[in-house]
Amino acid sequence: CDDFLDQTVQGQLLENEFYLSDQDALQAVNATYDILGAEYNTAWNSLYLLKTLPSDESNAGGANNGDQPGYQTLDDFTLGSLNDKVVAIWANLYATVYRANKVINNVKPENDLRKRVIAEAKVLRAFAYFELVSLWGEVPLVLEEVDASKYASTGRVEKQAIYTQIETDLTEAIAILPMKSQYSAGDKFRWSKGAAQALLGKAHLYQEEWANAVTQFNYVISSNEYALEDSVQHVFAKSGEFGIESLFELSFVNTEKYDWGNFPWSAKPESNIHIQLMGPRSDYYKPMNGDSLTGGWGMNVAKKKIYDAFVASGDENRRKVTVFSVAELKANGGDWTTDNSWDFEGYWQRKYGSFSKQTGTPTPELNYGTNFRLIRYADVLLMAAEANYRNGDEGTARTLINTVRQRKGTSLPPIDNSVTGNALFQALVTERQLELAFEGFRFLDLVRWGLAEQELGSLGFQKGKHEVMPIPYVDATSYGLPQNDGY
Amino acid sequence: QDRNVTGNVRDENGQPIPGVNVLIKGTSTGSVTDLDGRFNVSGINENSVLVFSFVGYLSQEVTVGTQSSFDVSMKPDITQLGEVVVVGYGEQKKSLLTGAISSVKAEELQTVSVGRVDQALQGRTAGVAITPTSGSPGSGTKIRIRGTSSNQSADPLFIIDGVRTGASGMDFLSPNDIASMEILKDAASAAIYGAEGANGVVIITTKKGRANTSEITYSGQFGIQSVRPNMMKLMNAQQYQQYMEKAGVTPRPTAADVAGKGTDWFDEIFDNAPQQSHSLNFSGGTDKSTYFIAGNLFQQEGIAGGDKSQFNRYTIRINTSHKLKEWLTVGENLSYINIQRRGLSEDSEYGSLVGSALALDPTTPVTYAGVEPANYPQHVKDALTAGQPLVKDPNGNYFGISPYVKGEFGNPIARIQEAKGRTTQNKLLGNVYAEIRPIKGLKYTTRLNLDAAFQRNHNWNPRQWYSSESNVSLANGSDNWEEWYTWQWENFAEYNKSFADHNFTLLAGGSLQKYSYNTLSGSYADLFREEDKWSYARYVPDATDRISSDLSTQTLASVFGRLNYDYKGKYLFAATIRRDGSSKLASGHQWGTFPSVSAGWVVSSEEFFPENVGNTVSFMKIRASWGQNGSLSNLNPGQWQSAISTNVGGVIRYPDALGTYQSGAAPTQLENPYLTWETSEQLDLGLELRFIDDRLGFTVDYFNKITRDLITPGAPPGFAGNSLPFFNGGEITNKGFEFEASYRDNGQSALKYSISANLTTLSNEVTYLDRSVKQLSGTNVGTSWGSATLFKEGFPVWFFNGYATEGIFQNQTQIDAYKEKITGGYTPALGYPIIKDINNDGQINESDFTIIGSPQPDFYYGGRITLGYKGFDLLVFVQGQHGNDILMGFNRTDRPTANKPAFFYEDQWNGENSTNIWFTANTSDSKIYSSDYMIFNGSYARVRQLQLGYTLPGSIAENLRVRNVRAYVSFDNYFTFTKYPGIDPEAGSNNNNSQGIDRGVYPIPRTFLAGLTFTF
Repeated sequence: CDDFLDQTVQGQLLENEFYLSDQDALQAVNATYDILGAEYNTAWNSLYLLKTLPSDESNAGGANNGDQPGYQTLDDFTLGSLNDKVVAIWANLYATVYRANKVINNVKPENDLRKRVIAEAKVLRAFAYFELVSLWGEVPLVLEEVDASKYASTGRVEKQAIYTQIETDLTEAIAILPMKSQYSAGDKFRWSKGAAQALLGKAHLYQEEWANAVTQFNYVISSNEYALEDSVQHVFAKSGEFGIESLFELSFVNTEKYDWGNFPWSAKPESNIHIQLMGPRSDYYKPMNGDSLTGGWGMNVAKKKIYDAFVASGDENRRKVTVFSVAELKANGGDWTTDNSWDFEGYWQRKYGSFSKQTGTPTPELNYGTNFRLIRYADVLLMAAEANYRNGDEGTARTLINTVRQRKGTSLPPIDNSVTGNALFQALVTERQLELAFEGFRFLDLVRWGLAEQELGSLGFQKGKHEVMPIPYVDATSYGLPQNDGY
Repeated sequence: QDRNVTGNVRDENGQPIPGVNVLIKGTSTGSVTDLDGRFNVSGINENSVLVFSFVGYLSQEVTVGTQSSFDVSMKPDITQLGEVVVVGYGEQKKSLLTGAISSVKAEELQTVSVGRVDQALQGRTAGVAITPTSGSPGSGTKIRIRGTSSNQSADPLFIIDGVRTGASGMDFLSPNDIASMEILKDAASAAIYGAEGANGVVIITTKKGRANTSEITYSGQFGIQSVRPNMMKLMNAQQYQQYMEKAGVTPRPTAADVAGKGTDWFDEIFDNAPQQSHSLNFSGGTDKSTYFIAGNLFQQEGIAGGDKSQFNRYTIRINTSHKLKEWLTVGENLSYINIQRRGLSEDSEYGSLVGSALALDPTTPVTYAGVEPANYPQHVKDALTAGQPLVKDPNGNYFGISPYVKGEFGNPIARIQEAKGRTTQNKLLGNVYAEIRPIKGLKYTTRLNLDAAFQRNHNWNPRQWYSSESNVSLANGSDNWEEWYTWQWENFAEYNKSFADHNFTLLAGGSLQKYSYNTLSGSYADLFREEDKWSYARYVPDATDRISSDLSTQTLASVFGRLNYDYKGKYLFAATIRRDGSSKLASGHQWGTFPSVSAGWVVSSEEFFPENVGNTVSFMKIRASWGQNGSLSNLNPGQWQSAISTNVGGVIRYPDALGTYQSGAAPTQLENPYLTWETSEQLDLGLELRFIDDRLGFTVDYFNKITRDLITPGAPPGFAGNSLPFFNGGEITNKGFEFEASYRDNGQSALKYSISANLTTLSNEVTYLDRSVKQLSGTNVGTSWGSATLFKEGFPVWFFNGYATEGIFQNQTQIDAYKEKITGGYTPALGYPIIKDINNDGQINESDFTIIGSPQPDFYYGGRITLGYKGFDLLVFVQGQHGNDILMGFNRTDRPTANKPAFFYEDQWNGENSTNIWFTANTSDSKIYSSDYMIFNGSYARVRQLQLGYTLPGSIAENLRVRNVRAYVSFDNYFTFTKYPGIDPEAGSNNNNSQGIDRGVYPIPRTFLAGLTFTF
């Protein structure tokens, strides 16, 4: 009779029958990249917007305050621990940790390939923990599957312990990982030595360990693996994907041929649906002559403040490829037919623009293949500049900033040698604001620089509360994780 | 010595009764009366006693003596004490029942107009609540016996002639084939079905032939369905324009753009629709063999969509039984069903057909008939210029496209025209069996049951364009093939023994069951021609093909036993036990045991029962039962298991730097080997009373049903890193009273009448939830109302969760005072609702959500009055429920220009103290649209049947050589009493966590029908 009750479940393999072969190892780590991609792009929970909306770069936008309330409350600093984006992104980050843990703990490092796979998994884990520690502060440190009986006693650990784990994982991985140039063309999406070093440098920077940060950034710079593209626009063009300026990015495709009938709303789409979400609201929008930026659903709309910052810096070249205005639209043959679109201040971002060139058929709205650029060389140079500045080397800092400012497509005048001390630091702040606008760095930069209240206070930011996100409701109330202050 | 006796058996009116069993007492030999009521029994001696028995009549015993022929007159069994009800694996006298079982007989089902048996059950008996999931043809129901006892599916188990079938699809059985339905409500009655009985059991017995008869019966009806005339009105063009202008949303028309009342989209999509059914039965038999052969046809079109929303069913049934030897009977019950179904999208606020009719603005015409192309609206010209495939009607006119309401919505008339999908199901259901009686009192049954369904869906979509989000840019198609296949082998034996006045019945048996599900589906695009004949995958380029297939199997092994004992029919006792093993569970956790006990006391049979009371109180029984049952229906194989899959929340694949997918695999979920069935434990106390010669009957039951180990979606901490689909973590209690009462005439006057009524009170509460779960989020409404239903300890199952309000802001002073306390999250204006800050943190956000309503009724009821005078009869059947709420869920704030019900305009706040009932014009504030303003009283009463019939007098009929000729007209679902201002108070849904939410429900049609039945 027990034989009768023993029925095969199709399409399932027991865990102890996996993680054995090279093929298993590759598939296991690919699944970890996949969930990291999902973190940025499950419909509608994007870590990109979680980091961008609280900044002073953009508003939530959309139809009205009822359009994606989770994004609206992030933008307005009225979010609570039930915010669906916060809950989902937290869970997705730990899903990355979970899958990485499985690879690290189960794959045997018996050959070079598997050693590399484990190293990739360690960087993926470190990357997820870096996001967690910078957005939530003290968080649970999970390095293997947690038994259900331990959920309530897991607790949050000191930020230092999280950073120590990040450093350990990255250091071990850096010793194994190949350079980006050593990967085959297809494999360049994988974590390379340089990208891991950049991440380790960033972890040191966030801990204000300036010298260690300089060391890691110098490894990246001196590797000669990376350079700046001619223009910021080229970095974010299709041709810039996995290009010379790219250290790490999340990969999406425009070839899935999604239509309204088959789009996987409840799963992880292979196209980047958030690009459509962030296009100018098509109800009212007509593009400029010759402009391929098509209409979308009008979220993540630029604030006047960022536009003004470009103007104030005389940074017209970079401004044009980053943000544009209604006036500019209308002057160039486009149109905008409403005067009271929700959350709209008259500007749109076009860094992650809804460019018709980047999408596919049959339904362009659903097939944007735009990658999310998570680490690029300009950011590395500016982080290096900051580390050097803090470490007392203003000269190197200034040179690094000027390298970014003076690239061909930006071609701004260099920062003069007379700019020193706090003025130099302010120059760096502005440089990061303009170069990296709409890339998800600004909010965390302001927080760690202590400038958040000054820049965001008028938007609802409360010091002592909004530096970090709320711990999700279930984790806090059912499993005893102490809630962050103020939530 | 042995000899023959012959004779006639007649009823109280002197009419011969065919099919009466005539047995020599103490033996199994005997005979059955023929068509003229004659019998002939051999093997008689002087001491023989003949026992005459027939359903519905009192048994009679006649001592033969020296007579060789005599007549017998049977008396109807008006006390119904002899009435037999079907119980699990057997039958039992109703008077000896110790459990709570309700019966519905064939007569009640014969003239219903519904196509489905489960719909026909609505309001018939206490303790059974039926909610249609939709009013579209062939739609299913949610059946809740004694309350919602799960947060997943809580549908009962259906047993048709011993064949277990899923409750989900009772669309295949013709109500005309049914002889009786028994609803096993208490745990003790259902416990014989163990791991599957927790939500109650419905046993359906189909009609059988009667010995020595031969009858041909026809019954048919033709009906016209229509939509309820006082159904919700939408704003007309003038109202729409003014409301949107006041709400300040764009794009909207100006007053100059609007002329007249515009398009009433409800008028456009709803139309009268025909339905018909015909049934022809041949039944009869000899005293050795009986047969019942039936053919049924049921055809129904929808009131929205006509033949694009239809349900056609053709069934053939052959039931036979053959007494091959004195000790051996073999037989079969078999039916073949063919169902053809077409459906349109509904129950969704995201651009379904009904949703589009609700949302589209009234200023858009159905078509641009008579408009010169040069005069088309600009947005239509633009779309045509852009080469979009706008849909034309058969006259070549373009269908209207709204310039204001876009998104997922589209012209519903065009959508109906372009709908091409159809589903065909072929199904075989039935069994073959043998009954062996090796010794006196012992009956052994072996039967093999089969339930096999083969379903094919073909659909294709022509190119069409309504908006940038609602279009088909490449003609595409899909085919799905599915097979459900269950076989079951059951063996059981029943042994009866009596000594002195002690009567025992012992049942023991076992069963093996295997279910498999096979599917193969494919989709493709880029049809060569947009025609039916080109809509198959073979005729499109392979490059667009997608294919999928799967197989799932599950098995169940069971042993069971039951003991029934009574002393003088006065003291009653029963006990059952069942052990089930399921392949769905982890090894070592597969088996469970389900016991029950019950007892009864027929007080009126006691000698001490006073005579003078006995004259008024003719029957009195007290009974009590307790038992445990399981429910496996919410589990799927392997759900306890952590396993590696290439598909976890979608196919795992990651595009590499060249855009080529790298395949991946990961654990599906967190493991839970302890996962087991839900166990429902129920206590039932019952009292049965009958008065004045049984003319007045009264039954009351108290039930307390606790479902433990509720299979609940897991809520592990986010940091656990994976999902836990299910674990056993909750408890639901349903308790209440059931009342059934009936009263009938004394049989003396020409006016015949009977009245029956039932009422069930219900208290539904989640009494425990594992502390790790705190609360479970149910469904969302629109894009802005997350967790609109919630599952939480101390509250009803899936209650409505949103903002509570306390009136309307009447003036600025109130707003200023409010803003002093509330610093963020809500920006009220004049005429906005005053939203309560439940957690007092000065912020209005989802942390202030609270219970604002419940879909669970406080009580539900049914009532039936029949009147008969000479040949005329009148039937009134009413059903209703009270105390439940409905959430109006079709309004979406992210589509602020979508049309709204007219009362939004008519009742709106319009200046200080104008009203506190409804808010000012606003279509976009998500706080308002996630508040108790969207909750309405869902109580209703519906006249299910108002039927007038006429039966031809026997004398006339006899001349025509027909019998039982009855013609009738009926108004079904014609009259509805409700305060719900939405589409239909029976706002059902297929989703268990979405009950009571009106997302644009397909309304229940009312039907006028005429029918005829006769026998010859």
